[in-house]
Amino acid sequence: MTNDQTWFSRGKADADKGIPADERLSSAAIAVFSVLMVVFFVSHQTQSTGLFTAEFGLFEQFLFYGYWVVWLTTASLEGILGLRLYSRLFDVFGGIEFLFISTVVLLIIFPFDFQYLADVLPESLRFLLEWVSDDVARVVW
Amino acid sequence: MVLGAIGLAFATVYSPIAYKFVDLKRFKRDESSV
Repeated sequence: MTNDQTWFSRGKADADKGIPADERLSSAAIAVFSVLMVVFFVSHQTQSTGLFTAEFGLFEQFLFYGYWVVWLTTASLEGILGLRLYSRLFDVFGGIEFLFISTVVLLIIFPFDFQYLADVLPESLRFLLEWVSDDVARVVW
Repeated sequence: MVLGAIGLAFATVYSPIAYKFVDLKRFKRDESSV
């Protein structure tokens, strides 16, 4: 590695090595999961299940849905489109910072009531999510 | 969310290094040449 290399050329050279199949597959899976999460939470909101409390205003919605859009963007760039360099640029220049800030702010405001998390699922599947309490979500999510 | 925030804080700092945008070897080389 020579001294005249820029951060961009180093990053590009690394990204140009290609994306291993397992990493591409896991990125594609994250993209699909992100879409499912958006559908899941929009269902909660449209059905007014109670998962989102009165504090879930426009700013909180921007942070919450923006969180999933960031995951969808970076995972789609790498997993579906195969554009690792762009995915990494997006991560480093805004993506990860947004994820961090939105997580911290939503943790502080906490506009959720997780006792209703399973309410949009069919009765037979609710046991999958019924164990998630507010405290579990605060720590693990 | 606490665990997520910790992981994301780590990723914020570490990802530019992992992605080769930051070259730690270069910093070490520069220090040794002073």
